[in-house]
Amino acid sequence: MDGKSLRKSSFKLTDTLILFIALIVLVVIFSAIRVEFFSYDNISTMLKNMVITGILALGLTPLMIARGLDISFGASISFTGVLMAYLYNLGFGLPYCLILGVVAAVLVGFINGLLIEKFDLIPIILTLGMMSILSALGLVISEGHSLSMLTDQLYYFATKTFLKIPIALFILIVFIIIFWFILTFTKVGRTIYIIGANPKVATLSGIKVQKVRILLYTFMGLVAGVASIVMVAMTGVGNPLAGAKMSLPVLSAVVLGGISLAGGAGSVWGTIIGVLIVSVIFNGLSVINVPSYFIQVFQGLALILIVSLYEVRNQRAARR
Amino acid sequence: MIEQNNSNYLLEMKNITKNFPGVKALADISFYLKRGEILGLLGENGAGKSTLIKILSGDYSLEEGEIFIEGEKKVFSSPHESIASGVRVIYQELNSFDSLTVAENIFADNIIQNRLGIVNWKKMNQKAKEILRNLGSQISPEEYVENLSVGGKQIVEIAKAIRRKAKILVMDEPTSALTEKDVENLYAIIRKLKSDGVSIIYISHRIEEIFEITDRVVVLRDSKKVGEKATSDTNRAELVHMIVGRDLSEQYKRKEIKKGGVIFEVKDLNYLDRLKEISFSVREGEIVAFFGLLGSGTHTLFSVLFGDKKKTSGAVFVEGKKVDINHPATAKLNRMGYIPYDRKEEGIALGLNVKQNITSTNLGKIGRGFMLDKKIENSHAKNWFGKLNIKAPSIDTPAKSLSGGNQQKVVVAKWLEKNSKIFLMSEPTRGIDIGSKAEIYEIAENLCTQGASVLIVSGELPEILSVSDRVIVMKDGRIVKEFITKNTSQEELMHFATA
Repeated sequence: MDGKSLRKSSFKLTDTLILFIALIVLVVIFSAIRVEFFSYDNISTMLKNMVITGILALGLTPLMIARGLDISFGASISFTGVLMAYLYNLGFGLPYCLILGVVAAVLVGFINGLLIEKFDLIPIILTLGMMSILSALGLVISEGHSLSMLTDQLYYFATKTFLKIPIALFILIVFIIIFWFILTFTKVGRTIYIIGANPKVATLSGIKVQKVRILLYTFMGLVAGVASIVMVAMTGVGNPLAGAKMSLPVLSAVVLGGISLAGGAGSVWGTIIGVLIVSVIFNGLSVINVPSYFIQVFQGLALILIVSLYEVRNQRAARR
Repeated sequence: MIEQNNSNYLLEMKNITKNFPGVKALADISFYLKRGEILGLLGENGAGKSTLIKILSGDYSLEEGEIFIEGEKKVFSSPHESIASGVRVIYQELNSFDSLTVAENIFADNIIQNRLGIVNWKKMNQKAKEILRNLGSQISPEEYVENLSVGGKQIVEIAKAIRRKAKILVMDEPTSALTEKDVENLYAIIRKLKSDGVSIIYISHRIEEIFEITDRVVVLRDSKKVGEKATSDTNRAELVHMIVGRDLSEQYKRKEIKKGGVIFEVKDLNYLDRLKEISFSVREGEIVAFFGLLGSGTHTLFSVLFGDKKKTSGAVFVEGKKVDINHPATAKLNRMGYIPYDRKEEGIALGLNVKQNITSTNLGKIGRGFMLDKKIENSHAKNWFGKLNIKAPSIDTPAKSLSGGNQQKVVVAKWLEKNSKIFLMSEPTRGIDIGSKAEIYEIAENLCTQGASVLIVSGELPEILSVSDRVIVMKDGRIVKEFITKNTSQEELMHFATA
């Protein structure tokens, strides 16, 4: 596995293992507290809810390995969803709505990348600004309400199963395969890891770092667009607040999976396990009837805890 | 209970052994340091010097062995404890706060304030001034550190150590980035410290300096101590022999290499106000050295030539064809290769392994289309790994665990992998050991026999005189004079660089 061999190979393997064990322990605990947790219905609901978090976390993975960051994806989902529903209600055909929505999201990603790279801006600040703009635009278009967008095709996609597996889940699986393939077997993947290891060295090796990163931001836009379609399909509305709560679980999942904010490290499998753990915690706490506000407290605490643990570990490793 | 030991020694390190996963980094090393003594610590990169120092500074934990300071046994679990015991390490890469004043730097961890917690500038500046004047330095405490030369920053670091009552000062390659004048200054300060009873562990690759400044030397090789001598009882040849474990011809001798036509030409190049009207040309098979003091523009010239900085005006020709190099990618396409000054930040990606570094310039050729072919990658990397005699367990070894000399070979390999023809080398032997230095020169020479050209920026005149065909002297962003190397001398070059 290339993503692992790139940095601290021996540590990484055990990291993934530790996370995997943590995942199983969590599942056992929640099942012990409430048997319903391990029921088919609950597991399939959980996996379905995981699709959006999962594809967003995957989109962030290469971007963050290359030392980029985007926190505007939640707002981008809201905006794109509202835009698609708005166009649909104006009478546009479904394919046009979806395509225009995705194009808008891609454009947002491209603008993020272009501004960050050309003006050498700090990604978290620029995308914070973008987040604010997109949320507001979503509210303007929708006048603050959810716009309905119920179509047979989207309903089918959101509710039907194939071999008892929700169809939406297949989208996530396709994304996993694509990202794993790119990061592990392609030159682009390697380039991303080189940039993450040291952008200056990458530039002086003749790699067009800015271009690659702009591409990754644009790709993140595409991912947000697709996530938005899944969101609209599952809820039947373009909701201007739908994406607002996505940032925290997605970022938690990615960081939990071993992607360092300093770049260079991380892998698709780490991210996926991170997403699974975050989903299990969220779903498990709901199943055992913890009030949803408390769940958010837990999420915040979990993120802080994860970052601290990794930081302590890194400092130990540096000191040996 | 405090264990006591021979308290005639200021510092004694006994039977120090350190293991890293798979490597013995230090094997049973013992040495002592007397009060007011200057001890030269010598050894090739990877010999164990930095590990030893990091144990002394508390950066690495001590596993086996004992440390005594003034006869008292010490166990450092962090750098703070080491500093509190009077040990201070001044690293090659100075870690001063550039945007603060000299006084603020000197008092960084203990800003002088009044009872209300407001900074007492007057008192702090006064005290900083006292410390500086005591060292014989005229630097103003109110100056911002970013305006100081490397030598000045070093003095500030020393002043900081003195303020913390440092008794043992470790200086890691202190002269590697200094001008001649700053070196003299530094020596004066070192002698002053010595007379005040401060002891100094002095690490340097420049043997002349060892004879100039040290009282005694300890030599490490392959993680062991191989020699310990009073400086006055030894000579250059013996030291070199101890360091490399074999005899090395004193000076690198050049072969005569046939020169071809002009391969690289620069006309009237300007960059902001830092490079002015630069024109020169280089022929195939030629090694051209650029010499100048800090701020002369030699390093800037190389970053501009390689496209890392955009030239303001002027023309560059590769093999007679005018090229517009505005990004390192374009330079690479024109078969140029760059070995930057700052190896660890610009030359090699420490988080990647040897093979990933080597192939990073040439991914286009590692497999078809979008796919990365691991087999091709391995065979390419192995080729250079063997040819350049890179000393590492394998091509999968992380770059950060290589010694400086071997890291530098990896950087050279990157550009050989890309089949470069014009090599820009910025201080290619900076901070690397004698053995690797000779190998780097040899590589440069072999490149030339194969029709490549090498441009070198170097601050070491003996190096320039022994490797280059021509020398271009720069000052204040301009070329002031050009020499055929064999017709010039250190004195003459220095004269034009400073005149």
